[in-house]
Amino acid sequence: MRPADYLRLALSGVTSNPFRSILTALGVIIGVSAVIITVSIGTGAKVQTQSQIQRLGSNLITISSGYRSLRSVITSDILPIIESINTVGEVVPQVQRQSTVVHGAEGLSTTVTGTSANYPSVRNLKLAQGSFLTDADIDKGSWNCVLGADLAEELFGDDNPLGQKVRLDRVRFTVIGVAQRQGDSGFASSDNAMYVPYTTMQRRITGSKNINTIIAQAVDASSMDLAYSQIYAMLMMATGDEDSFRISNQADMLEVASDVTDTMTLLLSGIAAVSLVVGGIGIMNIMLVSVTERTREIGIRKAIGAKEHEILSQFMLEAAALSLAGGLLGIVVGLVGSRIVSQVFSWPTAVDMKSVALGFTLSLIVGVFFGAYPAYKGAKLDPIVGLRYE
Amino acid sequence: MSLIELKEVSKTYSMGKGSIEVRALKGVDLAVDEGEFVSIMGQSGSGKSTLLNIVGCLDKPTSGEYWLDGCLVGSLGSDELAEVRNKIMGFVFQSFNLLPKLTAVGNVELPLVYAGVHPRIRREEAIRALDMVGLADRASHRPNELSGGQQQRVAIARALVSNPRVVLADEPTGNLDTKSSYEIMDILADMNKRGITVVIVTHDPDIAAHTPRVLTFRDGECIEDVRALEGV
Repeated sequence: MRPADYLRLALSGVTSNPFRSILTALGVIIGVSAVIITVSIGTGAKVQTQSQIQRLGSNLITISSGYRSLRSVITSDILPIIESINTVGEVVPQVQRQSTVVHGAEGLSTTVTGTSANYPSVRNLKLAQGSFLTDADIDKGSWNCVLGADLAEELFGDDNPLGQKVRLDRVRFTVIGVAQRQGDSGFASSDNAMYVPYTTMQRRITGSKNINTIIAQAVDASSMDLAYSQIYAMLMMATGDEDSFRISNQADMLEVASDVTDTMTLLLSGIAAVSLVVGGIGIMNIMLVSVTERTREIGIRKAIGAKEHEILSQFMLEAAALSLAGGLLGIVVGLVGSRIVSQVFSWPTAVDMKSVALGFTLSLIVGVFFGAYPAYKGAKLDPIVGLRYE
Repeated sequence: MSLIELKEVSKTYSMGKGSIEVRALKGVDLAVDEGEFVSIMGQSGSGKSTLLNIVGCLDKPTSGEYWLDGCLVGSLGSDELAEVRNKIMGFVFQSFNLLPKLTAVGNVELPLVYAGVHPRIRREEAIRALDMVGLADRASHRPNELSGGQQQRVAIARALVSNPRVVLADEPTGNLDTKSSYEIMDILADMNKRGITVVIVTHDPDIAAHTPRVLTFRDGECIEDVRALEGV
């Protein structure tokens, strides 16, 4: 048989019953597109998480109180110790509390962060209006505050917030600055935050010297590891208990975040791959039906001189054509689908060409693998049995 | 040496779970020379179709030897048997056995597809074969658009297209009226005159009377081998 005749035969097998062919290929279409969409969501999430973590600032080491400590050891007293380390540049305390900020009749729940004057430079915060808290504000524990972009807009609308008063618990703060809109960072929206001097926060609101987190910025990327171990050593000396504090650096966070998304992607695409196998079983089922239906045809073909491998190829190619068509359609559906996901759910998606190649290859393998048994059954058919089949 | 030579050929079928054995052929000796026109007569169950299937390399004997043109068929593999069916044999069946999805010319050219003939050449050959059975004008009709006699003529054209040395016909007139039957027999006789060896199986003495040699089978054995006198 000529190669073109094999192709013609396989295509006529697929097109002779178009509706059945589409239903059969549907399993593969769904499987391949599911693989592509899940991987694109996973890749998108990973890229976004990484950029979010990067945006929080660079070369940062986060120090917070340990899970098991009854009394927090991370207090204002620790700050000068960490500042004294030579590999550490800036040190930013964060005293945080969920609270309600009130202006006129408007009351909004927000995360209040008590911090120091160097917060904007370390955490990449830019101001849209006014200025950030100064060292003088921190030293005297002033009642000035800076608002996130969303919070300012919700409290003041079109009015200029600068110089206005807001009330937090029983304390009245004066707005001296409004931050630029940063967008959702995934952890806590800084657009909804309120910044006050940490000294004021401790004296007037929390009533203790405790600090939730201390952000230490290493002088450069190469001294991150050294800074980390020096901070650890200092804290061990100060507290004598390694469970009373936690230190994490950005690299760890990046690693954890990408580990999490990798695992999720693998899990989801594994589920998608299972549906590809189910699609393959569908192809096998329909090919078995097709071989049985065409028993007489196989008998006739064999009687006039078709060889076993020619019958085998006919059915294998038909199965491969079905699942390849499914694979190609699946790729189209996957590409369109991941666009729709990113538009409708506003999730970032990034189509990974590797997943497209994987889906395509898998669909071909599925077709050949699940087409093999029915094709073999047809090829081995005794011509006499085929000719007698009604 | 004869073209077709069967020596002590037996065929036994196992029915059910192998407990009951049916002996379809019981040690048949048969020789058919090139260019002969032979009919095999017998009741159903006499083993005549089994014999034809063995001669056509569709089936293998349980015991005995089948020599085709000096070649022991039992020694051939399935690909070689397919080759024999494709190049040397042409089949005509009682129920025509055309592929319903293909046109008349598509059915006729099918043996040439498996022979690997170029599409343009095989189309020409198929049209010529259809012309020989008088159906060139029906080339693009599908089997269900043709009468029984016409379908059988398409089937004969399919048997002829690869220039076989032997044409085997199993009850070729079994599903046809008398007029169509005689037309088919005329075509087969015409093919025989061109030098093709023709073997037909029939239970109809009227049909068998068209052939110069008649073998009669009963219970898996050849009980009579009659040759008409020359010129009759």
